[in-house]
Parts: sequence; C-alpha cells; structure tokens
Amino acid sequence: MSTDHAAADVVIVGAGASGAAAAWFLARKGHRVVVLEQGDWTRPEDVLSDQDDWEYHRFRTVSPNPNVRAAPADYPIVDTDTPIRPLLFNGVGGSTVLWSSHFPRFHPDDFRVRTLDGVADDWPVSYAELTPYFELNDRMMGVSGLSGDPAHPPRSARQSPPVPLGRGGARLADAFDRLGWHWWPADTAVNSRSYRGRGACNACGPCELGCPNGSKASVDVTYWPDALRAGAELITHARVREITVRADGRASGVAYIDRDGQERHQAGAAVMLAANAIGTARLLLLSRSAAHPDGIGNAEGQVGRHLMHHPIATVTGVFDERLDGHEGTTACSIMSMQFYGTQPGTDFVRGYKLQALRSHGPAVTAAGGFGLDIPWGPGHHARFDELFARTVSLTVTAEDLPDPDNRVMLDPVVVDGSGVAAPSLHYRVSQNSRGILDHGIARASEVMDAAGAEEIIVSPLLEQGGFHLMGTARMGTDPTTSVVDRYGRVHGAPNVLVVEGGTFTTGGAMNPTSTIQAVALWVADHLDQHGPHGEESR
Amino acid sequence: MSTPNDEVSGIRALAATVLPGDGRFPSAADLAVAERILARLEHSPADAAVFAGLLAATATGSTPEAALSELGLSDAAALRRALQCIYAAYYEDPAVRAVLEAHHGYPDRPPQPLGYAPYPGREQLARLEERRTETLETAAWWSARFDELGV
Repeated sequence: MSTDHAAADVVIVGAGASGAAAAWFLARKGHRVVVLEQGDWTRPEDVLSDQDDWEYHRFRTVSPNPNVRAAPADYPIVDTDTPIRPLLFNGVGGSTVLWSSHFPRFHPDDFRVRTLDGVADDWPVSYAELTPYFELNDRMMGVSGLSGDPAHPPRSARQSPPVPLGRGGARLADAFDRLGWHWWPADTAVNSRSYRGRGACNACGPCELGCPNGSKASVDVTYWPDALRAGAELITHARVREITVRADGRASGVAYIDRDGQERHQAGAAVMLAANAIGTARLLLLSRSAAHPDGIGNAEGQVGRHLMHHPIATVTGVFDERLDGHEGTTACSIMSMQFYGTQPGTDFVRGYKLQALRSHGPAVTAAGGFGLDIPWGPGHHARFDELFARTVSLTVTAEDLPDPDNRVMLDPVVVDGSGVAAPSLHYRVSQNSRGILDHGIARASEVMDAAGAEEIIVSPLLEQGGFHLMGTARMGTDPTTSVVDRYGRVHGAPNVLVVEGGTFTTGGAMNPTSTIQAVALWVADHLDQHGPHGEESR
Repeated sequence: MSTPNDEVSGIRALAATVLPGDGRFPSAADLAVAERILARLEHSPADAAVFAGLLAATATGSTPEAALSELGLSDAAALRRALQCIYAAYYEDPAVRAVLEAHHGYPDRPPQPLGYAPYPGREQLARLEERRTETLETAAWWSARFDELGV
C-alpha cells in the first residue's frame, strides 16, 4: 500500500451533498481537506436530455438504481429483503446529480418526536441550532420559492421566485383551496432565474437525467467550484474500503483503491464519512481492528440499524384536458403540510407531506410512470391515449419511525468490483407507516376529486423509492442506542465523523437533502472550532 | 445457434406483440424497433439475458404472447426490463413521435436544448400572496408551536 498524498487535516469520503458542503466549509476555514470519491465528474455533455434516446438512458445508463445502472463506480446493493429499492448515484455531486431538487427543510417538530408523541427519540440538536446552517446552505445552493409559508418558521427571501406551477399544479392548488387545506409552492433547488453564475431553468422536464445547463443545484456546480477554489483536493475514482486506526482506536486515515486498482492510504487527523446511509454504514462495518472488532462505532451493534426510508404512495388524477406534465421540474410544484405530524383520531403517530408531481415522457408513461397500469398488447395505445400528458400526481410521503430491525449489513457472499463485501438491506414497511400511507391516499384522492379528476389511480407503495436513506449512524447521547453524538462524532472514535443522512435520529416526512447539508455544515463548524480531539463524545 | 437475423425477427415479433399499432400508432413491426433493441443489448448484459430467455421460449414453440405472459408470472422484474427496452425503442421512433405531436401536442424533439414554457400558475400564486397576511387556521396552529420552540 502506498501513501502519495500528504496527511490531511480532514479526509472526507464522498463528494455528494454533505461531503461537498463540509469540504467547502472546512477548506474556507483553512483546513487541508482531501476528498475521496469513487465516481467521476458528470460533464454537461454527459447529460443526454438532448438526444432522441433520452428515455432509454433514463431507464438504464442513468437509472437512479445502482443495481440497474451497474456503472463501474457503483457497488452492488443486495436488496432481496426489502420492498423499497435503494436509489443513489456515485460520482462528484452524488445523488444530487440525478435528484429532482425538491428542497424542503425538516420541520422543527421533526427534531423532537419523543417529546411530542412519545415514540422514537428526540434529536440531540434542534431546528433552532441548525437554522443558520440552513440559511447558509440555501445561499450556496440557490432556492426557488416563496417565503412566508405559515406552516414553517420564517426564513430569508428565496434566491429566486417559485418555479412554474404547471397546469397540473395549478389545478391542485385550486383544489386545496376549495378544501381549505394548506398548500404552498415547494422550495426547489433549481434556479428560476440566474443565480451565482448559473442560468435559469428552461423547464425541459427530466431533472433526473442530470441538468446540462447547471440550473439545477447539484453540488458539482454549487459547492464544488468554490470548494476547489478554497483549496480542497478532490480525488476521483478512489474507492475507500476501510478506515485505518491507531493502537488507541482513533482513526489514522483511510485505505482506498485508486483508478488503477492500486491500494493506497490517505492519512488524516480526522475522517469524515459522507457516503450516504448505506455506504457509510458499510464502511464503518468494514473497518474492523483490535480496537474495534465489530467495526468502528459498532461496540453496541448499532451501526447499520434504524434504516429509514420515506415510504411513498402516489395518487394520480386523470383529467379531461392536456396538463403537459412533461414540462417543468418533475417533482417540484406545490406541497401541502395539512397532514404533517400526528393526526387526531387516527391509529398512527406522525404524518405525511403531500407533494405534487408532474408526469413523464412517452416511454416512461408507457412503462408505468407514477403507478399507471398501461397494458401491453392490443389495449396499449387506447390506454396510453387516455393517460399521456393528462395526469398529475400527489405523493404521500410518510414519516418512517426508526426500527432497529431495519438495517444495513455486510452481505456474506456478494462483493463489489474490488472484492469488498457489498451491503445488504433488510427492511419492512411498518404498520404505522402503512396507516399513514392509507390515510394519505384517502386525502390525496379527495384532492383529486376536488380538482375534477375523471379517474384516480392509486399506487400504494413506490418500489423504486429508496432515495431518502437515513438513520444507520444515528445521532444520540446514549452510545448504546446511537452511533454519533450531536456533533457527528462516532462514539468511541471521536475523530471519525458522519455528516450524511445516516445521522438522522428520526426521518421526518420531508425530502432530506437540505437538512443533510445543514447537519454537515453544523458538524464541520464544530470541527473547525474544536478540532478532531476536542470535547469527548458523550 | 441463432443468427443476428433470427434475433431481429424474434425481437420484432415480441415488440409487435407488445405494440401492435391501432391505425394511428404504427405497429412496432413496421419500425426499426428490433434493430434498436438488439444494438443496445450489446451494452446491457442483464437485458440481453432477458431477451435471450424470451427468444429461447419462442424458438421452442411458445408464441410471443405466451412467452411474455410466462415471464410476467415467473419474473415480473424481468418482464419490466423487456418492456422498458421495447417502449424506449418504439417511442423514440420518428414515425411514433409524429403521431404524438399530432394527437397529443407533444413536440417532436428531445427536451433539450429548447426546453418548454410551462403554465406559470400566476393566478394561484397571487391568491396565495394575498392570503399570506391573513390568519389561516393552520397558520395559527403552527405559529403557537413556533413560539414554544423559539424559532
């Protein structure tokens, strides 16, 4: 194994949403930051939405499912024991390269579920403490939206106005008004007008292919240029396989496999994991030593447990006019907080968000879109005609309570291209989550009815919906039930820090990226002020 | 051992079974759908395996309809893969795109570089702006919660 880079102050594993934010912050503060990313950059010309075969690529080469995409940078994820498939992207920018940019913050209530509802745990950090980091992150990313939402605490003016609602979004807004239910234009990490050198969105539609214009705030075009200018060093095609430790159990750096297949070591005073809730748990479990025989942070067997998704149902309305939902940001229009949090008179705790979705191009529509069922064979074209460009959907995005039996483990058989054990997922949708989804399906159907839908199509659980990965290295004050403390430091190895969604104590019902990045900045700020050997983990 | 011509004709039969046409939409058999799929299978081993299984079934006596139906029963994910390949190759065909434009107003071009100009929803947003200063029932509820939290 060779070491060819000078020791870093901080070695960050993963160049996605959280790794980029932390790298930028720490580099700006004068730290020597080295970031290892197993994928590569996505260049504008790599985005294929200007090609006739763009929908084929959406199905395959840029599928959000790494097991379908199977690119060289991807590692297999064994998903035979979960009804929700994992979706993520390995490359500079991480999953933000393919994300849909819906950018809500977690709600203040999401940080104190135990206090409010007597279930799960409160976070050891509050919304108020994260507020300055939310604000800083919004400025770096650029958010389109409208301030003044009564369902959220006040926040600064959005960086650009709301993205167009679209015909479908407008119909749903009218329906919410008729019902007297809350709605608001969704915070969206897409420029509706130019911001920080990035142009305005031209509403091409398939954000999930990547954005050739840089209008979408993937962190390869937001944080990374500034992070590199600030001196952060980014090494691509670097697959980290282990956190190395000293005799006292503290991290000394990471072992990785470079683009040529050579074993290398990057030394660092601190190691920060930003590899999503699957990759981070995998790496902690892989890092076994005399000091950490079951993996770093796993003395109590907590690493990988409490995997949370956002179980999602979709309710689609079919209308008697063209809505042209292929135009505009796919998943960003309006959202409703009407049923967020525990609902009186129900047999479940916590709640859900309703979020409008537009629709798809022809091939994705034919293949099922958001839960459509278009038959193959003689009936195909007639049904296609009824549905294409005439639908709008609502997601029911449920809060998933942490369950220690939902977990990421190391698979005993499957390995990645470098021979390293693959992660496996073990997950069930709880009765509580099912109750939330069923309640949400009924309410969303009321909205569609009020909007004048001629037909309502329900998809009770989105199988390809594992894009919000949380909880596998959860924050807490008790090392027997958590993995990291409130500053992201691993219990028992405080110079190993976690900054991604794995840290989430509970999962809220909000898309997590904004909160992931706020947590990353919070952790980075504390590391900057106190160093890797500061106040001990408690 | 099958030849490329056998494979093209076999895939063509499968595609035509999935998308037979209806008078306005052409049949997949009349387009270059099978050729497109075959070219892509070279780069997608998982898809190639699915089509190899379907072609083996039809070569041993199953009709294309029966082969697809059987696959759906035995391995729904594999059928989904096959259908995605067929739909992608069909709906990008210029003849099909012309039908989409004529009957659905869907422009015969990829999304970029021109993009679209979606309905802005200004009326709804203006209504919201006006109402932002009013006291919504939900606003009062949330406001009390925020006061308690000091945010």
